[in-house]
Amino acid sequence: MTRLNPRPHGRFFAGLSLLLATGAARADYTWNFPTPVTPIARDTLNIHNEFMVIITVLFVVVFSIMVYSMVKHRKSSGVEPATFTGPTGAFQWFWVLVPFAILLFIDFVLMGIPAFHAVIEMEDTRTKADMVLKVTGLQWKWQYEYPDSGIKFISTMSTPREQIEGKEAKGENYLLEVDNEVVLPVGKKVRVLLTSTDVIHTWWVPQFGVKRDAIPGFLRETWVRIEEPGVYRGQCAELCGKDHGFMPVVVRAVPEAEYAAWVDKKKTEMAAAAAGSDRAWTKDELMAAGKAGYEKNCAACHQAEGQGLPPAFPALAGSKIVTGPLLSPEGKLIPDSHVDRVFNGKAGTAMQAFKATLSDADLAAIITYERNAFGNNKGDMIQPAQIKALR
Amino acid sequence: MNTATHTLDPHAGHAHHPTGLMRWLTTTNHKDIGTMYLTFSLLMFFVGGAMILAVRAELFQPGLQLMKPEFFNQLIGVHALVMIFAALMPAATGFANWMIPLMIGAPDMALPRLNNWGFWLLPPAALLLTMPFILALFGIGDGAVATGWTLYAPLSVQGGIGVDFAIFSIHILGISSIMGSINIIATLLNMRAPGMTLMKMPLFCWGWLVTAVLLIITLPVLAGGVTMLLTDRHFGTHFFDAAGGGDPILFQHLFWFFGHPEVYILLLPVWGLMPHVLSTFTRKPIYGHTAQVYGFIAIGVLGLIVWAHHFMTAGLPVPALLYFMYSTMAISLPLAVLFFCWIATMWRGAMSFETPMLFAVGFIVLFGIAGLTGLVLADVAADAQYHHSYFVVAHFHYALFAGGIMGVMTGVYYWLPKWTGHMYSERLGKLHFWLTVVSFNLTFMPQFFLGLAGMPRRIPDYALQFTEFNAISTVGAFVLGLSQLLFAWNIWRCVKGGDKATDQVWEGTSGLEWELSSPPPYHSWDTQPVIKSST
Amino acid sequence: MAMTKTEAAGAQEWTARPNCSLTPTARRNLVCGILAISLLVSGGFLLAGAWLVLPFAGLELAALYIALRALDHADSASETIRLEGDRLTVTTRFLGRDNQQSFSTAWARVSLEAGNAPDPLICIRSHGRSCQVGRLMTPPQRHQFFSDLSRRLRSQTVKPN
Ligand code: HEM
Ligand SMILES: [Cu+2]
Ligand SMILES: [Cu+2]
Repeated sequence: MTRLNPRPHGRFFAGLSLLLATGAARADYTWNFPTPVTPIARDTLNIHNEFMVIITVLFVVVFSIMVYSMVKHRKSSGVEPATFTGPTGAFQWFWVLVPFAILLFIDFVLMGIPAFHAVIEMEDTRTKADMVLKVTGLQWKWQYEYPDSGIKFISTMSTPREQIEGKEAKGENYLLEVDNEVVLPVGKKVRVLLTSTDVIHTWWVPQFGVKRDAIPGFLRETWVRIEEPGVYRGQCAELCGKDHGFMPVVVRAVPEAEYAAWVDKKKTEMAAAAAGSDRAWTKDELMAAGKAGYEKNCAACHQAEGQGLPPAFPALAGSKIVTGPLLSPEGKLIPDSHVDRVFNGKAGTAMQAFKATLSDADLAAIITYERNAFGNNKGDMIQPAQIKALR
Repeated sequence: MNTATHTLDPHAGHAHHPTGLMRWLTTTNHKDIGTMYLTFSLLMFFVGGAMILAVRAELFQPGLQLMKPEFFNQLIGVHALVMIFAALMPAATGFANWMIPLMIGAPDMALPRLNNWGFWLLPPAALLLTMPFILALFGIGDGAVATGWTLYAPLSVQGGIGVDFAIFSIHILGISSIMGSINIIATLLNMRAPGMTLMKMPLFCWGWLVTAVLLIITLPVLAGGVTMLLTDRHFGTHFFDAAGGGDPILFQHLFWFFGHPEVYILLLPVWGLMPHVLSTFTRKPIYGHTAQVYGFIAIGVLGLIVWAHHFMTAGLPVPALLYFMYSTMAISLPLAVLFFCWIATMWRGAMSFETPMLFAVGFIVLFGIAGLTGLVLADVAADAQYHHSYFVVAHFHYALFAGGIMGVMTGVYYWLPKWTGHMYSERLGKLHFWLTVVSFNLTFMPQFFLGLAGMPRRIPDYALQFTEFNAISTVGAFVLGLSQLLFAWNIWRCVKGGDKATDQVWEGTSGLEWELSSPPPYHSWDTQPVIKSST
Repeated sequence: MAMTKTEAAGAQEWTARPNCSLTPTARRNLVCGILAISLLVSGGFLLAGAWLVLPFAGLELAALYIALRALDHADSASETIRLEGDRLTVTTRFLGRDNQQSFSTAWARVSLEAGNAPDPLICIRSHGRSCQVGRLMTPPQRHQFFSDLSRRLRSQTVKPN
């Protein structure tokens, strides 16, 4: 069934591929797992290969016997059918039981023992862990957090809608590219903690050999030790709603020094963003930042023009909530108001609590944008400092 | 002189049963009901098939061409629910209704009225399931259930009215299945002809007995689970909501405690049918009747205790992972008993390869692939890679299409002459078989490779390295779908006419059902047959 | 097929009842077995917080029990043939409907007649009336009963009275 060595450039179905000459980038298909880059993935590939050999042998042996019988014992060749209905005598019983003994051996020794060790290794997330990465699934993006350095950001798919809708040629990493890649140091054991804020997502990078569910309200964990620098791509593997197919995972593994430099750079960026919430912004600044933020975080559901996808995803253009009052006269949050929705989400729907994931500046910008775009012209605005005070 | 004859016919008045629509609405005759189940099943097979062809068309090329992701998600979920609950299960129930009374020498099912209700619950349930599609066209709701057939919380708590419709539909389907199961248990246990001890009961009946018991054990769990979903959605409970002290994984336990046995529920009747077909076309008695009976029971028991292998990436504790891994591997043993007996039944027979035999052999080989890939899926570490990828999609289609649907086709070709009194067209049947096998493999074999390469299931669009295999799979799927029109055409022709079938139909048959005329009289066993001690 | 024959002074009675392969004990064991498994399963889920499984399991078991009890009704079918003095009385009971006919032994004629089943039924006629019995008998029982009955009738008619 499976070649043992991955053959990235097979031409087996060359004829059929002709059908596909549609101008899309020439793609590479493979017959097996992608090249493993963690100890777990290597183990898994070996086990998988071993299993494939075993089941292929079983398949061939068993069905050779059957095919032999189908050729030999045909009515047209004039044979008389036998009449036996079961084993008789010790000798026959012995031969009947042998295949089952072999199967027992294959199940619980040949396959069972390596499987046991692999499970133990895979589940050992804590021994000698060098660092922690916290992954939170949200509809439909990932948030990454580095508790050691306080870095926290959201990673969203960056493939343009035009490519998906076929209005533009598809890029090389179509659907597997993001705005913010997770950066991890090579050679370190990274303990990955997973959770979710809405529904179940599954974090999966095939080349790491790990796949683990992110479950709202619970923490799950797994681990990776990436052995080679490179960019590794995966996807959410658990159906999580509309854009389940569009929440890729992209991990950039870099040497330790480069990782340290990246951490520093991220920290400076975060400091700049934090400073942003203390100064006063102009309305144009807010509108510009708000448009970018809206398209990244909100447009998947509420659509680029704010028309939404009713009834699941309400329109924002002309929405009663969006065009309602901004804050109470004392500058407090009004329940079920526009700011409250963006802040705290709406339980039981795909609308999430963005205060957990967006910065003060982003929230202020997006709220201001929504109130003054798509034909909504409230004319008001909210400052990052006000957002900060509401937290 | 009084010329009236007083007949003491137990079914007095059977000469003037209602005709037309009323006949079908009110019938309590096991053959009529069997026919209705089978017709309904065939119809829904095409409905479910049309849905998935739309999906495959979308997946022919990367990019979104035909539909929005929301609609895509609705199609895959409803496809699975329709195929499992409205195509495969009713087909097996149709077989049971037609054949069990004939096989055990009973005049009808034990509870004929219940039987009628059981069937007539199905069309409304199917309607409920698909109605949200239509409602959405009129701007009501946002379409059918879009969570996949597994309905995982909290996605299903978040979903639209489609989820509520699906929950009610599942309840009705469940009630129908319970009625069917109770009836089959009662019939098999109480109505066997004298001399037919449990151990002498035909294997098809045994397969169904285990299926019926499994349904009775597991359906309350599904019913409870979806009801809890409903109360979480509308009545403020928090069974699956961590914020309220619940646990989303609890739903997965509930679902798969039903869902895993469900796959055996779908297949046991087919496993029961296989030895009959093999014995007929090898002209040789069934090998290992008793071993197969114990095999069925063992699979039933093991099937009840392995459910969590469907969510091994959800973060179960290590001992649980090991337990579910090893118990799952253990299922291969009773399955191997069945394979052994099937092949031993063929061994040194005098085989001929009419359409049912072709389908039986195709079933054995392809279902073998399902079992073998199932064995590797059981390995927790490797499953981390396979789980929720196209590898699993391929695995369960080898189990449920090659195993389930092709098994049903075996039965249809095998019994159709008995039911209609006519032979179907052997030429069309063989053509149907070869087209089905080839296009089936063309459709699903590439999906194994897609899964290995890392393509997740249930995505409407995919990265470019998956293009070739997806295109092949789509081509295969369309050939596969269109070939099934031959099947329907062949059945239709056979119902309308064709060469007269003998009572025995096939040269090598044995069993009570072949002693009746083809087609059998409206009331099968007006008089009680006995089982000779030799059989 | 339960076939019983009772003889009292000057009277014979044959009773045939349908074959019930499920004995009351087996039925009890079946229900108890399924009850035990169901309780185990729904009890387990109860402990896990899914108490709603229990009521469904209860409903379903009740349905199973009622259905099996309903079989008793179907099982009450019977065919009784009583020969007493010069009367031959045939009582049949199907689906709760009773039917009784009485013949004079002197005029009754019995024969084996094939209906739409592969095995013939026993037909009793007299003066243009007729009835068929033997549906609840297996073919050997039917043949046995046929020869029994015809012998009795013959000996009655030739016996001087
Ligand atoms: C030796 C026999 C088998 C073993 C060990 C086995 C094992 C497994 C495992 C471990 C999975 C979960 C994979 C995953 O989601 O990661 C699975 C999925 C599945 N199996 Fe099997 N299997 C076997 C035979 C069968 C049979 C006979 C059927 C059908 C009658 C079947 C139907 C399914 C289905 C429907 C799923 C996927 C359901 C879903 O996720 O939607 N399998 N099997
Ligand atoms: Cu997802
Ligand atoms: Cu399973």
